[in-house]
Amino acid sequence: MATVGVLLPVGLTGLLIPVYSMPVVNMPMTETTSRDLFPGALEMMILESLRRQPAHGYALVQHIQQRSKNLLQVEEGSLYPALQRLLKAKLVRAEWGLSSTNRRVRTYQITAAGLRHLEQQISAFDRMFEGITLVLNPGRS
Amino acid sequence: MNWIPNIFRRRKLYDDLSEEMRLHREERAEQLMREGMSRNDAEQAARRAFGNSTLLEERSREVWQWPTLESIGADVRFAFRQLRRSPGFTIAAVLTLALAIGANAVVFSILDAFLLRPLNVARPSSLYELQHGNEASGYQSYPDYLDLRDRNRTFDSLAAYTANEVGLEAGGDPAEVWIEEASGNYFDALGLQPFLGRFFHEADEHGANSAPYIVLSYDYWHTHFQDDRNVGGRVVLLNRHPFTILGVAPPAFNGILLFFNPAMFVPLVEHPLLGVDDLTTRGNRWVFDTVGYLKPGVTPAQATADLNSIGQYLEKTWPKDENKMTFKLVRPGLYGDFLGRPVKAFMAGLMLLTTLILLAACANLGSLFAARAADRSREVALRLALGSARSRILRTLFTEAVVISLTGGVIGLIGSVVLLRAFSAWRPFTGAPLYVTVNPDAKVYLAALLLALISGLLFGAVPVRQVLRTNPYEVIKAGSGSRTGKRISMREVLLVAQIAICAVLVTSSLVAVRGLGRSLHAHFGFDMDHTMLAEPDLGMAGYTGDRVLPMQKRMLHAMEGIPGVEAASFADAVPFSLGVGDAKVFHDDAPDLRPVNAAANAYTFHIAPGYFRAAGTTLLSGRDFSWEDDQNAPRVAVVNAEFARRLFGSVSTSIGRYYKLRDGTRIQVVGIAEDGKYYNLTENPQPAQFVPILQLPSGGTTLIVRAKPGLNNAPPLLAAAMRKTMRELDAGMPVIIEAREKPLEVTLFGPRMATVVLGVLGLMGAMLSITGIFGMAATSVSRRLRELGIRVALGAQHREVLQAALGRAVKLLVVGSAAGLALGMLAARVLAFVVNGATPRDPLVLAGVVLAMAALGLVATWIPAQRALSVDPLALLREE
Repeated sequence: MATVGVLLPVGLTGLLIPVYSMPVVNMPMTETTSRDLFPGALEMMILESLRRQPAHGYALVQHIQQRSKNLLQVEEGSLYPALQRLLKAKLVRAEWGLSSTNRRVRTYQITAAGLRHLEQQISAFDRMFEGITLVLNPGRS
Repeated sequence: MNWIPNIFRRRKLYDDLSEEMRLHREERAEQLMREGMSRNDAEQAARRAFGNSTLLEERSREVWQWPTLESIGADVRFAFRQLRRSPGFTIAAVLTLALAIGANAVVFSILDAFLLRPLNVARPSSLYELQHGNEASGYQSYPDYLDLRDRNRTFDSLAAYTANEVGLEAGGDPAEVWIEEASGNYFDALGLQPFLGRFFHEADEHGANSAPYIVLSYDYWHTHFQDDRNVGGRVVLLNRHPFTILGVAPPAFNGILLFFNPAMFVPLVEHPLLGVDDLTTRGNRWVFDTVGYLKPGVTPAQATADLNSIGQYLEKTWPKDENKMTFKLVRPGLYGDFLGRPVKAFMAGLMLLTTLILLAACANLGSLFAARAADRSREVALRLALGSARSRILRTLFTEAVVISLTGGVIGLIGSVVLLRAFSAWRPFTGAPLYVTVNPDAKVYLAALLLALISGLLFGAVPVRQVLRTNPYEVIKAGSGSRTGKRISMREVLLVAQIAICAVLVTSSLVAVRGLGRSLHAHFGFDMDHTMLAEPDLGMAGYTGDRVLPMQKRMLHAMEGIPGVEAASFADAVPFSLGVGDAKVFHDDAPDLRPVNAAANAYTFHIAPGYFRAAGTTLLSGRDFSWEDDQNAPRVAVVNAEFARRLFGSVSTSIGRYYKLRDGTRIQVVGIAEDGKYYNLTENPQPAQFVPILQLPSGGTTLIVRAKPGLNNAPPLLAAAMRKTMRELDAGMPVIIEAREKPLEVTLFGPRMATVVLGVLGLMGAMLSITGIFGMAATSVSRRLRELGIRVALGAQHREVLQAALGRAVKLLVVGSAAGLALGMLAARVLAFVVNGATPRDPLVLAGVVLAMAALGLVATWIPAQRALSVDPLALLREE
């Protein structure tokens, strides 16, 4: 296991503390907020964005925020756990390279399995959405 | 299986991830700078927009881990590092726990060996011992045993055994060994298989002295026959009679009695050759014990009823020989209730006390832990602020506690194994093979580790409330020095608990010591100073029948001739030795001599003239025997005062009166001896009769030799002289020479052991309390050093300074001691079982406990008090 000592500047007090694998769990702020619609929403949107075009993390965030017309406020970093999950499940592929602006970036690309997964998720989501809509608005068809 | 390559790639993954996230934040920052922010602001804004990067990185990594297992592993490594940083605390904590858990492991092992482990025979749960209904013993006569064996309908088989000491000649020097004489069906009934050769069976018995066979015990075969595999068929001499060795018993079998380890097993029918009793006298109860397996489906109650009916039949058929015969089925191993009950009570009490020690240790560690956690409140606050959940922090603390406790537990267990090995090898009695092999088994290891775990969780839980209430912002702003002024903190409660437990232990120890002292100085009825005993084995050397008395007289004269000897005599047995016998005595006018009409059951000693002088027993009135009180003279006896009271109503009118023995002999009382103790330290006054050995000869011989006080007659010198004299008389006769006090060792063993153990536990409790009080006093003083300095500057006297600094600690000490003393009084009831004469309501005990706790407090607070008194207000205030 990596014994990485992370120097973490703590803004308020300006202390430098060596911290080893900061104990981390379930901070309420990142779990159930208005940002996550439901588990898997973020993954779905990432896959969709990558389907259109391979991108790196920062670009993905920009893309999602723009496309959702800023209705979805995604905490930028929260993308990365989702990306790792997708990587582990082999739904995306990642490789280092240079961006258009000559920055060192890690670009993600959707795989065939990812595409299939995306199709399933979208249709499931559509069904769910329709069901909810019917319940909320019985008049509409 | 695709996680295998993942392990190797993981390092790269983590590095990639870190870099990626860093680059993301840089890109955001550059974007913001392009929009016009300053570098600093842009970087801060980028970080904020990114979110809690530490948390996110952790969550991302978790994708590739088994999170729970790995975070626990992380906790453990973290705990090790933290503990390494404060070695003093770690060593103290680990040692404290090692002691406490080691003590518990030792006691539990002994408890297991004595009470829990089943005997090494087939189906131990259906094996029962036949104990008398009216007393805690299992003695039977041989004809009674045969009747019980043949007439019962509820037992699969009934076997009997007894212990005996014989002279063995196996080619080397003659030696005295302890053997077990067992009925023919003994081995078969117990379902054992011989390790070598064969056993003797019921079919081998054809009446008295018909089966001269030996089965060696495994240990004896190993130590004295050098594992000779051709030992079967060898002939050795027991009491000068030839016996053939048949085989070797299985290892780890030493008979039914747990603590008795005979050298060999011999058929019961051989007893007339090896002892003084025969197989036909129905009233002579020399067979030590009878055990049997219940038939399947039979309950103990049914068996008891069956046996009682046989008892009634025997009573009716032989009224002269039988007393009321009822039975009770008990567990063998500790001879039923005789040892079983006191051992159970003592072990239970001991287990309780060691558990208390463990609790005290946990309390000690708990308060240490709480203090440590308080000192780390800053670290806790920071971790909370950085996003850790309280549960995770608590888990770290618990991990630290469990690491300490498991380490302590393992060390304690190792220590206990060493101690138990030493205990198993210990031979407390030189005269008899009485010892127990105690080796810890899986049960003990498991129990110890479980205890360690629970202790860790217990004292780890102490700072929980503290951690849960930590408000990170308050702590970081104000510093960890802020302390909420509570009335009674958890630490103080724990300290009071510790002190109370220590006081309980100290009280128990003192009660036991007092009880032991009292029983040692009880009125024995004889004087043990400057007295030696010599026990020759006349039978071994061939002195039987008519040759016994002349040899006894020769030995007596030889002893009297040793310079420095004041008086000498002999008897068949002396009080507290193993051969003490009793007999029923009857009023002179008793209608018949059935046992139910007996006036008393009196200890009976067959003594030679001059016994009372040699033994140091005072004659209250009348006379001693002379050599004229022989077979041709009227039958006389000297009785003790209790005997006179019971048979004749008063002591003063007893001289000259008559009483009868069971065989009808009419005996006249010619002297009254003082009362005393004859068999048991704890017995109530018992009647005893001393009869002339000339009139009623008896087999055993014990010489009593009293020396004049003086350096020339020191015990070793006297013993050497006696040995030389005996060897000159007959070089081939084995003799045991020992001080008069030696035979009491068997009786004193229990109380002595109890006192030692309680003393040790008391010491442990005291050490724990001292560290506890010291800790509290030291922290109290160091925290209030400034305040004390101000007090001194304002003119406080020494007394006032001490009161301010240590007042709280002393108050806790007093409260704890009082509580412990009260509890100890109650606990001492348990002790009374083993250490008789131990009454808790003893002013000396109270005084002792108070003194002990005060001394404890003094020792513990000495250093902090010195520190408080030496406070220099100028130096302190300058440091501001």
